[in-house]
Amino acid sequence: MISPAHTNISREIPAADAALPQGAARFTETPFSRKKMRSESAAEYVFLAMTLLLVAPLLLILGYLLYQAWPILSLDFLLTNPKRGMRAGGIWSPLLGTFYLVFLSLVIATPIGVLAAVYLNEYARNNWFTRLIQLAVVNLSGVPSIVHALFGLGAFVLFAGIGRSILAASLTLAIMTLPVIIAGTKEALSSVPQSFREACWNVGATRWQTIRAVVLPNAVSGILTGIILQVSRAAGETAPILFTGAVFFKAISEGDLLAYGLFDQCMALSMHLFTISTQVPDVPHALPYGTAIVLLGAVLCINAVSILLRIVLRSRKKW
Amino acid sequence: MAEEPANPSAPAVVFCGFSVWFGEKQALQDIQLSACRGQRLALIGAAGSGKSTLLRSLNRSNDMIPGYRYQGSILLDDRDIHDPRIDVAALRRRVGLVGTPAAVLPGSIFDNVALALKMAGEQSKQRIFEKVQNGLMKVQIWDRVKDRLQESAAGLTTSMILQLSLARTLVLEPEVLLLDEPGAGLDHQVVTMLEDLLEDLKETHTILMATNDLKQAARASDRTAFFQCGSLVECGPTRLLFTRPQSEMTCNFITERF
Repeated sequence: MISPAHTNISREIPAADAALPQGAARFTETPFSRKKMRSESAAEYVFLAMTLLLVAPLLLILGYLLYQAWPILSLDFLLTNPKRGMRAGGIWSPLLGTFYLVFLSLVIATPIGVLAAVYLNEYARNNWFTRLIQLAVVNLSGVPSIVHALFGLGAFVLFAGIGRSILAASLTLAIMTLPVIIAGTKEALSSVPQSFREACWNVGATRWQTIRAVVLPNAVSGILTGIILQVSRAAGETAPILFTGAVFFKAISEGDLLAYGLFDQCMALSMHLFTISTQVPDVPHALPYGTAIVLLGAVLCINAVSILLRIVLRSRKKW
Repeated sequence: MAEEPANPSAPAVVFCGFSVWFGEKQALQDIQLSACRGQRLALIGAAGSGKSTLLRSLNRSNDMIPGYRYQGSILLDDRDIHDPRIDVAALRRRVGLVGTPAAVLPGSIFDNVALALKMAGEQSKQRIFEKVQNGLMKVQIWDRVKDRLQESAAGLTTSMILQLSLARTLVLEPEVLLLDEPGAGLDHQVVTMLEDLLEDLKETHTILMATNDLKQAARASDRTAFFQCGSLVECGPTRLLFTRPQSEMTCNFITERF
């Protein structure tokens, strides 16, 4: 009498098998699996297309600028002042002015921004005061540059009495770039694992020792990224320097890297480009294009140096 | 921190009515507990019973956690460790914590240990090297790492990371050694090494060890304290606690009927 029960069980197994759809063994294609594969490859092509779409305009712009600017590009173009009411000559004076502005604004904004971010991320307690500061930082980075320009005019040029000068313009640019540097640095610091800090505290390191020995060395590449982004912004903005230190035209001694003083007014590439393309009649066609490509090239050069620095620092990172 | 030598029989660490909150949640409740020099105290209890919190309170690691609040006091050689005049960094050098999972710092194997000495102000490269070597020998990985001291420590195994972080703590010559679940996920040899080392160290150190492994607690401790839900249920000589527990809860826990 055991056999009925036994056969009963053995019958159930093929029955369960039969419940599966025809041909649904593991590696056989079903309509569903074909559909999945189709959408998988479709997704990949869509993403690829978007990426190409992103790069194409950049290459087109670069190519077009280079093509238009080619006749005028030479070392002389970089090293001579604009001449004959900016209808001839080179761009030495605005080029040097832009370098001064970018360099000085970063020299001012970087230490303040990085140290403030260290405070906010490493020391500050999570209370209403800290949250208020963070809210302010986030909102400040969204303020239009022309508003920064007015602030710079009021605070540095008029109130502090610096007058329109490279210093006032750089301070204005520094105020503009500061919130983004703070936000970027804070991001980089908070990506350093907390366990590193705790291990360091546990061997009797103070907070500052921990920051110097463990946190900053591991965050430095991220911090640099935040600063690199600001180079191009500081070089490209026209509004903040418009009221605070940039001039329409100024001739300086050609080839002299120290031609500008801190309290001089200066020319700047971004403003020069605006002037010769809209304000001055009969400018030779290639001149604005040449200026644009130099502005772009200068930014790329500074970025390249920072990226190299970052690669070197990252290769020394051992985790 | 040079003070008059403490009475060797007096308890080195005393918790007096010590309670801890993280935000609204109470993590430790009115703990009365003491640990003496020359004794290994094991803390047992289910996960979340407050063992780690107790250890971390003792070197003030919890200070950095937002929402941390305490009541009562902890005495280390009769001095309240929350005394505002106390140098927290010096306290942490006297009270070494090996956390879980054992932390590995970015940098080379050598730097991982040398960092502790550098932070303590040691400048002589010669002395740093000697102490690092000594520390790595104590935890018995010197032979395995001596040829790759400059390699990144990130590639080490879990066991070696624990040994490394133990070495990092020991080079500072702490008086109190806190171990948070040593042995979790480690190979047998390392656990044996660790327990032998604790046996040697107990003459000169006060050792507190939180563990999830009841066998380890039974093997490698002189006294055991059982925690449940942030309260100390029972504390006594290990052999006594494991053979004749006073409390029903302890009995349930050690017979793993939890």
